[in-house]
Amino acid sequence: MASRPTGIYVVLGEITEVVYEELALRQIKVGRDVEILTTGHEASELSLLEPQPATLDLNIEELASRAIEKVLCRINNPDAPFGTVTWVPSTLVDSDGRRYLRLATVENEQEVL
Amino acid sequence: MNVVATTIKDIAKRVGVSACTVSLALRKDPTISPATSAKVCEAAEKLGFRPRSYRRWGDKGGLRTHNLVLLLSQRPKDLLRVPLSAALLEALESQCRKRDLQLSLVHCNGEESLPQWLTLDRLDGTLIFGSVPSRHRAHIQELRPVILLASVGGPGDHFESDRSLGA
Repeated sequence: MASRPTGIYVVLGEITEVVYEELALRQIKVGRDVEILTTGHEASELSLLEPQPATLDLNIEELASRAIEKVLCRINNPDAPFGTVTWVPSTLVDSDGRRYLRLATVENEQEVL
Repeated sequence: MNVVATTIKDIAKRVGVSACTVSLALRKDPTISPATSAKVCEAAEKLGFRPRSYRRWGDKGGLRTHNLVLLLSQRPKDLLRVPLSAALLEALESQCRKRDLQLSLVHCNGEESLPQWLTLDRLDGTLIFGSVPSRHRAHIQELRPVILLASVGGPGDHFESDRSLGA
């Protein structure tokens, strides 16, 4: 097992560029010394980064669609128990643009206790 | 199965105040002390109280106004600087337009009161993006159904991207 991290998961995509800069200042090269996974799939600024990071496409359209569907469902069924949590799965997009659905976190819905 | 709805009297009995006080507290009347108001709201939440306005309109089901409101914990101009938030706002607006729904944005921080027009008889439902200020919880509770997006806590159905689960 590697004695140091081999990758960094940047949860806030908008700071990806800063992460690149900070790593470069420390002579750590992305792609050679460490891999970057970010969530800023929607940001056009990512295309300026070299090498391109892998990203998580958070499927925002799907999340929005399901949220509105849920509102409508609740409106039509006002007495149904509420308080569920829905995880919308993201899609891993590698630095070459290949897409992989994240099977490890298939969407689930659970009651909040 | 018969479900007995919680009434203002139930809350009054639980808190040890009059029904009138409960009614005033739920409407955020300034004559009620913040401490009493907090106790009433807490009891209302625990007992699953649904205001009469909700029962009157909500029990019928179906769209009435075609209006939804999106409460934002940050100012829209700040949210739009973040690509992910901007994409979500655009996607919600697009989804509403497809379904002939009108979506109004309301900035909701803990310092200002919510707009007076924000009542169930003018809305069909509420979405919340971000955290819910505790002082507005009782008001928001009346605006069901409530859908929470990337929110921590609060009454309603939660929607999250799985990014917070890690890579």
